[in-house]
Amino acid sequence: MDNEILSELEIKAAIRSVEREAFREKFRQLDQEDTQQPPMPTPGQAPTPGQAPTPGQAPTRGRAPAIRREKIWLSSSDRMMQFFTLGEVIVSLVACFIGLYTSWNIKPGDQDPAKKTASDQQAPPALLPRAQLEPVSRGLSSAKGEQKEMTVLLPGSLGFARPGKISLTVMINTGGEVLTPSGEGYYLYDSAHRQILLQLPQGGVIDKLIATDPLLSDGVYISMRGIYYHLHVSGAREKLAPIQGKEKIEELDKIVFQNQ
Amino acid sequence: MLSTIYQRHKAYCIRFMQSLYHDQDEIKDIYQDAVITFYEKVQQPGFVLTCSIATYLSAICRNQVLKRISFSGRHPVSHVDPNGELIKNSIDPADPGEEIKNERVKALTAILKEMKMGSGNCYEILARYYYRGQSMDKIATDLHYTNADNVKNQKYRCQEKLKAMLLKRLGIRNKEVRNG
Repeated sequence: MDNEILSELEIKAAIRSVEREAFREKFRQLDQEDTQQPPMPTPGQAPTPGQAPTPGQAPTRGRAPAIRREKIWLSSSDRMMQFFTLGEVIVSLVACFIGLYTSWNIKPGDQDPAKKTASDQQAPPALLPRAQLEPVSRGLSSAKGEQKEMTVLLPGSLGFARPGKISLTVMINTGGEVLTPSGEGYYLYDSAHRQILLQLPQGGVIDKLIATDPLLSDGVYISMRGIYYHLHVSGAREKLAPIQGKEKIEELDKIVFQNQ
Repeated sequence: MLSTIYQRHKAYCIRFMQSLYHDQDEIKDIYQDAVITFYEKVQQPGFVLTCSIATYLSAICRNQVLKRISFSGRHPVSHVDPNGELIKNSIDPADPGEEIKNERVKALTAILKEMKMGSGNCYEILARYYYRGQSMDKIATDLHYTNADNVKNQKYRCQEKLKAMLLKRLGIRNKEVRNG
């Protein structure tokens, strides 16, 4: 093409190029306005206009910034809804757990261990006459003394499904001639007849009668003057010995506290 | 108006292209060029839009994506356009990738940019006439000339000025090439 002639085609092409560039610039601005926050270029991402390409990164031809794959933040109301939904799920799970735990705790067999034991053993939890009890209490110096029904304090089962009331007959003989050197006394726990015979020093009184499970499988515990004693199931006279284990003492304290 | 069109159809077209092509930068470029092409077609006197703008833009985008895929040799391109009937003869054959890139046009582009930034109506008259296809009367009215003949004279002077600047620029460059 002759240098002296300027064709309309050339002018058109040049103007078109200028106009297109102007449009692209305008579109870039619109994109930036849309995104509000311009994205930080990451390695491998095209540099934004006016930014020099990093070494190893190919320069781009007036290229628009890469499409941002932004995380879309939910509005505050949506987040509130999410929060409440989450809360609802948690409450449902807790309620479900409580329901299952409760139903497990109040199974007919567990609901009233006293009844179960009685039915299993075909022995009504009646108070035996002194004449029948005396052979059982053989070994104790005397069967004379106070006799009373005491309610066994049981763990609260996290505050749910407290088992039925369990009572034992406690006979206390005081002032007997045979006492342990430390002076606590002796006991005999007859689980079959749900009776406890105690030989205590003069003035000895039981404050609490405690069990760690409703079936009394671990025997029972008594509290005297703030000291706990463990009464194992036994057909013979046993020596009263104070509990030393800190954990057991705390466990029993907790049961007493729960029953206050 | 063009900004509105750009923003309104951007998500649709880009999503459409993402199903065909994975270069996000290219996709953005293609969409921008499609909107510009649409604008240029609308400026043409005999142009009639026989489909929705979204369909038209997505058809341009699709053609451009397929062309680039074909060019990169990744997939053979089917030239059967599902929207062919709808957009027949509506796609600009002079796509943005085929802009004239010779030295004279590059020099002219640089000169016109300078003209655009500077004072005077030269660039505006030439752009309206050559790019937007406006008549002399229309240009006279919009740019407050007394009549179309004055615009015609002004356009002639602008072209002469452009030619002189081009020759000067090319002359300097040729001298540099010869000396260098």
